[in-house]
Amino acid sequence: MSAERTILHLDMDAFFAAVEQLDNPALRGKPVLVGGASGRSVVSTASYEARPFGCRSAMPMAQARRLCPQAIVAPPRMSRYAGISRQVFEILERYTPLVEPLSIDEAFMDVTRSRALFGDGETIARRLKQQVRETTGLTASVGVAPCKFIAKLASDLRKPDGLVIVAAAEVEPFLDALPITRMWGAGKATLPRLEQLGVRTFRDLKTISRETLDSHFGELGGRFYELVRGLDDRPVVPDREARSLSQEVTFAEDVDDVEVLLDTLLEQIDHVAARLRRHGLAARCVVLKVRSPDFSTITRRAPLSEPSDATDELWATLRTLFEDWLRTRRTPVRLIGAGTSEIGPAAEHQMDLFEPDRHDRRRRLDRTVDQIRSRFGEQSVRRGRNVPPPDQSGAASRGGD
Amino acid sequence: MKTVLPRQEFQDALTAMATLTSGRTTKPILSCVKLVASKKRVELSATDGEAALHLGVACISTPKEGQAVIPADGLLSIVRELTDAEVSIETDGRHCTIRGEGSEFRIFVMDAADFPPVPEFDGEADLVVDGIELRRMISMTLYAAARETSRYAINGVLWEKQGKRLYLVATDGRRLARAGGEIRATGSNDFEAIVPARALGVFEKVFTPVRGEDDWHVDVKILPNQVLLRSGDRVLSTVLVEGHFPKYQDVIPKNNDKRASMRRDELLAAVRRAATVTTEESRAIKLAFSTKELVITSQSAEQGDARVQLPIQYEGTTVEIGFNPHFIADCLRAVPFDTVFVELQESFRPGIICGEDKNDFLYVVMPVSLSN
Repeated sequence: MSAERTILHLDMDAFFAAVEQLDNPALRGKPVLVGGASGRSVVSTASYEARPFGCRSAMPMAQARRLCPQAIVAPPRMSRYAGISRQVFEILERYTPLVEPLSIDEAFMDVTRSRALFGDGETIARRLKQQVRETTGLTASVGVAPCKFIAKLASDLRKPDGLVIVAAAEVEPFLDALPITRMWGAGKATLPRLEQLGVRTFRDLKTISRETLDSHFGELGGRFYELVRGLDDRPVVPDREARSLSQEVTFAEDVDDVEVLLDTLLEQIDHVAARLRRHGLAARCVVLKVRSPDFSTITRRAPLSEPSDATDELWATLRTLFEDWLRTRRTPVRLIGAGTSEIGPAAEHQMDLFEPDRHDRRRRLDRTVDQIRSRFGEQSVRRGRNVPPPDQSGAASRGGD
Repeated sequence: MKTVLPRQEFQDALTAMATLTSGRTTKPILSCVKLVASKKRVELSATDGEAALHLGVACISTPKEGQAVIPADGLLSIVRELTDAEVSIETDGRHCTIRGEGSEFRIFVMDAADFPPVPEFDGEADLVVDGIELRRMISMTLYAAARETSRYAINGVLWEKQGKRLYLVATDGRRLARAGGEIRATGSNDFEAIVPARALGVFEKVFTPVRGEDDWHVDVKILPNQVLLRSGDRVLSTVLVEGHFPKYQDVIPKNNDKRASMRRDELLAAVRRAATVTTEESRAIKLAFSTKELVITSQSAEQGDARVQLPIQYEGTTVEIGFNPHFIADCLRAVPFDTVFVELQESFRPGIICGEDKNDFLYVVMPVSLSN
């Protein structure tokens, strides 16, 4: 067995809002909402001053302004955020090449082999926080743990400007005390089912057998079983491919029905696109993954002409990939997955000559769907495969109040 | 069939044919060239299924008239390697024998009856256009055509005849180039036709000024689903792109009141310099126009940043706008003007690049919004 790993998770505090307060002293100490000012926009980031009023990111801007009428609304400046993000990542990379960006303001680092040079995890975390503050004027929260899952939980525990260290010996008490809502993968669909099983905390979850979890949650169940015991050997992947987002599912029984496969892919890419939007990212490439019953797996990718975070743009490309694959397939499908790669900040956008507001219309539709879901749950709005394009459906004009 | 040809002329003709035969195809016959030998001439044809090229070479002698369909790549590479002034082509059944002095090659041929028919230029031309002028119009627009897209019928260049003028228009949905020129003679009504970009690429390679002819012209014939271009004994035909070209007139800005002028070569050099630090993820350059000066900046997370200045003629209010540098450089490389004009309205509206006369050349380019 190799020595135990030291994984750091660094997360900038209220990043977009903090940058606005940094650049404009008049905003400091005041509630700030970063996002578009129109009624349909959603909050990208709420400053800590706005949070006691109930303002959160992904909330409709109109709702946030009702909760906190004195809040100052700042339009997002992605290229500025990307510039600061670059400075932060430069600092992280001084300590290890093993830096895995999760978004513009969040990253995992594996400092296991940096300890000899820079000191233990806690020492590195303190130096990181200090250097980020000195270089950018902003604060970050850091979690230090033996695995990614716990490091991320830890960084979130004492925000802002937090530092939480979970040593190997402390993993069990640390996890046991957490409410189940902190569990990875436990969303609006899964939580009620966990609660039906009597699970309210991590400690409760540990009492459930692997078989029960498997039968209730499939692959996710196996994941719960391991994570709740602190078992997470996912490596920190520093390369460009790490900057990808994807979703896949293994069917309980192999699927032959093309309609089922299409529905599954649409749901997956919709979810992936929403995650891109939440993190202010755009992808340049769409990826399709298909596994046959004999476990042979193909991965196909197609570039987009412009980086995109729009569900229907990503879907159009994914669908073409799928249809190309369909012509060559010989067997039913065991696993199918949709994803994006070559992800970067959505800082610039090439406008279209014939439909200059096409991009804006798509964004409005996507944001509307995102905000309905954030209020009413993931399943409250679902994409249909045969709905007309957004400019004809009128869906964008609904639900904006 | 047996014929003897001047080697260099034959090689030139086969090289022209290769623009159509060298593409990937699933039909072996489409990678062949068809030879029809008569007493004085050998006619060559090739097609990729969409476009077809036909041209003639005067032969030295034809002991036996006939036709043959020969793999073009093989034939060209043999003819290219020979050094003799003459080359003899003889077919018998399934083989073709190519002879120079001291060497002899035998390659398989295909059945001439399987070769698809190639359209012929019958009757009068609908238009006659100056050859140099047509080449100029193609080179000023073709680069802006969409390469692969499912949107509109923009994988081609729109040919639009309006009275005595012909306009060529190409767009990929983000920028648009239009070139116009005089028609020398026409008997046809006004028309619109979308000519595939690939066929125009073949035209650029194959239709060059005829030596010793200062009055070089190209005959154009428009059929319902085809266009034929003829110069001397060269005929290029292609099926037209079906569908509708977008209503491009609507996107040509009318209110771009901020007008700057500058040297084309200086702007091109500045754009290229600023573009050196752009990357796949951060591709835009920012142009800031102010009185007498243009400042171009760019920055990318990986590479750092750049700032380039150049003198311009400009009196309006300051304006900043982001562009994909390739879209600007493509246009500046294609136009012959010493001085170019850049006309803008605001950061989120299309810009115009042109010369003295927008009827001769006009380029519309959509900006990149730098923070959204």
